[in-house]
Amino acid sequence: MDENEIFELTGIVQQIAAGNFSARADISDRLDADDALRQGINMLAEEIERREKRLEEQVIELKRMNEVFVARELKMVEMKGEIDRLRKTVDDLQKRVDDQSSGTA
Amino acid sequence: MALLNKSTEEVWSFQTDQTIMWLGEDGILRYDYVPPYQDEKLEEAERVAAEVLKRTQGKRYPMLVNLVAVRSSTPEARAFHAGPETGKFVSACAVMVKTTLARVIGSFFLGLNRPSWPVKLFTDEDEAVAWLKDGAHKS
Repeated sequence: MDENEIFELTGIVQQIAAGNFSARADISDRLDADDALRQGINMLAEEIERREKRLEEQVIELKRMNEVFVARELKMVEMKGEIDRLRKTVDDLQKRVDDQSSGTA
Repeated sequence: MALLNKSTEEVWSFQTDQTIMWLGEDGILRYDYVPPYQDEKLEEAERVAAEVLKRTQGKRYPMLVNLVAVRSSTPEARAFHAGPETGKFVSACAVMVKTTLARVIGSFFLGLNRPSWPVKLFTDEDEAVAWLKDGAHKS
């Protein structure tokens, strides 16, 4: 690998390091040790890209699940309020019935 | 750019633009790539697997793979080679990595794709065949 090729390959590594995981080194048809090094860098970048994508998908899924859970929690708070209101209504009605019963007696 | 040895008779074989596949009388599947070099994609891996499955009919074989003519293999193709479709016809896999490039590709396959069957890298074909034959991979 001559100086120019090393410079070019270093540039690819720098791009990957900067977050451009789709950067790839060109593989020649010599299939020699230099190509092995280029291919190794490419495959590492592919793997980072694949894991990055999977993480993004997992974050989206977690956000969606969080929204579902929060919505359910809010619904439960709302239902608890409704239960408290209904319980109070029942208590009031019971009290009225008890008052009427004691008045009749 | 040497292909795998033809030291055993073929039971069946087929060839695509990229791949040479054959079952030897010794009960070992051979998976070779057409020289001088190939860039393997998922479609080719699927095509070969479908052809092999037609011939193996549910039976699993030890397989010898020669990566010497592989210039690149996409993550999808490698994942397919380690996945359930391939597992329908492979019981163990010896991977020939006679060049530095082949060793890099083979190492990624071994380390990242992690098939559920035994896989080992070799630089000597006789040792690879012996490993597949003597069942050492089963222990």
